[in-house]
Amino acid sequence: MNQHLSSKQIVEWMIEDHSVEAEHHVESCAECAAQIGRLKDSLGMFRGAVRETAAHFSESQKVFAMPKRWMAVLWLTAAAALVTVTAFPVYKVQENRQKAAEIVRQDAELMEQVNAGLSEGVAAPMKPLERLVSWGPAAKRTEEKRSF
Amino acid sequence: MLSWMAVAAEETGAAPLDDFDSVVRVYRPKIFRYILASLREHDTAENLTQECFVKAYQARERFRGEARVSTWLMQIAVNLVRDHCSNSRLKFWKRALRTAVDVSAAGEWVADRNLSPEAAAVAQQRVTAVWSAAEALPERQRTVFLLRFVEDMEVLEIVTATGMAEGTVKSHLFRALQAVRIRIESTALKATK
Repeated sequence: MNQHLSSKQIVEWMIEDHSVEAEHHVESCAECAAQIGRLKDSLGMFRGAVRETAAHFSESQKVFAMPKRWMAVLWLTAAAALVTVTAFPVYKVQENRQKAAEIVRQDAELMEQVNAGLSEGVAAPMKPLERLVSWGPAAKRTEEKRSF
Repeated sequence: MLSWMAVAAEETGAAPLDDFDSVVRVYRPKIFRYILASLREHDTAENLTQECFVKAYQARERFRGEARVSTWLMQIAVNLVRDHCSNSRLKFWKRALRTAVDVSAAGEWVADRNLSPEAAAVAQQRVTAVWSAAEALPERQRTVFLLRFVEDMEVLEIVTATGMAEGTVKSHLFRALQAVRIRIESTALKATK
């Protein structure tokens, strides 16, 4: 095989689909070997460029992924703030209700005390004198003891 | 039935992958890379990569250990890319999206940093030419081309991942590579003029 490899044969060489004659020719022909070498180099550089480009974008994605974590923290903070804002009025309403109930309870207690005071036979300031007079039940009992 | 996580552990030679997170960590770069190279749109690539792993997780019971986990995941990714490309409703938005990878900028990522400025410029031109050519390829040719020359997958693995016949894969690979080579040559020719 004295003629140089055709374009078709060079491509066949590259996809490892070449004949024995082509192999022998390339071994002895610097020009064809150089052509194959250039094509191999070009494809090798292309592969390197694709790999570096992909790696570059992968790295960019990683760098970009960092703020995503911070975004998650921000979302959590926002959610917590929302829960607080929503829950606070509910808490206040609950607290106001409790206060109102306490006032009602205290009023009722006071009214009970007032009622108890009014229902007494003798007013509270006169109580010490009650013992000294004869119409009280305690005085009656004292009288009976004395008579014995 | 083989546990796919056990197969994944065997493939990677790492500690047993006892959780799905580990599977994602190991295979995500490969899947993302393939989808990004196919669509050149990193937001979409990100979303489809996520979707790929969601689908894989949902279908994990159906994994029978007949193929490698990476091939199985790639099969899902290939289908997702195909569905995405065939979805005409998305075409308008695809044009309107602003997160597309700039081919010329991508060409700047040339692996060997020790090149002279002239050599680096030539390398950048070649990478840009390959990327532009890949973009212009029909969807199936592009898929096969990327799986072979970016992911280093063997023809039989590509057969499994794409569901195409071996002859069809080889034919697509041949046409794709021929188109790429023509683009590289014409770019080099323009540069010398």
